[in-house]
Amino acid sequence: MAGEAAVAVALGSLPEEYLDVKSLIELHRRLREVRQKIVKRMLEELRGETPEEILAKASVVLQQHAPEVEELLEELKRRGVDPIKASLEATVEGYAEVLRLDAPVGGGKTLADLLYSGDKLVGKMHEVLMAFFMRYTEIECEPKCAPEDAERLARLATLELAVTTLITLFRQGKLDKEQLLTALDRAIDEILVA
Amino acid sequence: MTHTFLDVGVIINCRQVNSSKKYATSCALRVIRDKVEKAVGLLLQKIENVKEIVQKYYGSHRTKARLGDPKTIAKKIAQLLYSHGYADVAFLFQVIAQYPIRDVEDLIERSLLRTRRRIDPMNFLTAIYLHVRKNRHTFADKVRGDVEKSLDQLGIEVVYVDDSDIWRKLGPGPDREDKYQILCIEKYRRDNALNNVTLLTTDHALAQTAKLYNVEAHLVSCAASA
Repeated sequence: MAGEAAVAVALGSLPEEYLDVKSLIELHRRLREVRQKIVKRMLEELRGETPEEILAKASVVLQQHAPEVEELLEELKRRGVDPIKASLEATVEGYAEVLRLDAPVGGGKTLADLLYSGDKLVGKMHEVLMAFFMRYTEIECEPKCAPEDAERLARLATLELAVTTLITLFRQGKLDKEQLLTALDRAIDEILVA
Repeated sequence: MTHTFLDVGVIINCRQVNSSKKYATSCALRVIRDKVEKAVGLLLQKIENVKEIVQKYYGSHRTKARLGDPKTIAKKIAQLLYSHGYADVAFLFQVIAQYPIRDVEDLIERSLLRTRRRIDPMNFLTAIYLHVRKNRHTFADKVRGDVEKSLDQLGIEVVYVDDSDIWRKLGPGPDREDKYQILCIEKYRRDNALNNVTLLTTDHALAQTAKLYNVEAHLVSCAASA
């Protein structure tokens, strides 16, 4: 159940860093709020900033918040929605949209403009996004997610939350650019084998 | 009857047509496998340089003008890398441009075509990079298998040559792979008592080397840089 909660709350958190998500339905909005609460708690409780620590912490905090998420999951199930399948479908769509590279990033520029300008950090983030996207599109949840796929999704969801936390740490000035680049590169290895 | 063999350059750079019977040796496929393995290692090391070359070229294009079909993009990346002195890495993209590599086709179908119907070159490059990063130990063998399958479908027979002695006896040197390909053809001729064998090659130097081993060679013009 903790795995299901991790998928529901953390899967697709990265595309939301780039997309306008006004259209989220009420339940998804509430899941997003739980995620924000989890990231906030992680940032408060983190003692170090290595990817291993962040990943371990993400796993623990996600488990601790599982009961809160389960309430929302029950509501989804009552409406006949398979939460894991629905999360995966929405996540793949979110990633596909970001990887169209035409999302505005401010200053009249798009993600493609930054990527083709040779910005190293944007290039590394692009690799991270593509790595997650490739892994998610490998998983098929038709008609239902196989248990091993659900487990893999939970591992990827935890990684996605860890990467989101790394980016937040960078934005808060707690990681410099080189540290973030190194951490993201290590995260890519984890994503590829998850 | 003359047996016409194709060298690695012809197999990788020329569009094969189903015409008169042609042959490729298992040695040529081994060279392709080894070159792909080398290209993968170099791509993993030099990804930032490769990205820079692709970004510089396509950066001046308008968004829609950048987009294309995967084979055209692979061919363009191969040309760009070749002209920037990365011929070894270019080989990988040339193979992808020329042959249906199942893993790559799956990746394009399953992931890249979900972003757009025409693909962005940086998405293509990054997806290939991540795929070989994940599959670095198995990718070259898979490519070898897929090229062999395609040759078979094109009516090009792959003949097996016992190369254990040949490869071992060849000393290191820039023309090791050239000599290896020719010695394999020569061995096949001897083992099967063939009178006439011809080699089609894209490489002038390889044609010269072939003469030294009494293998008639014909130069074909369809190089990656063309």
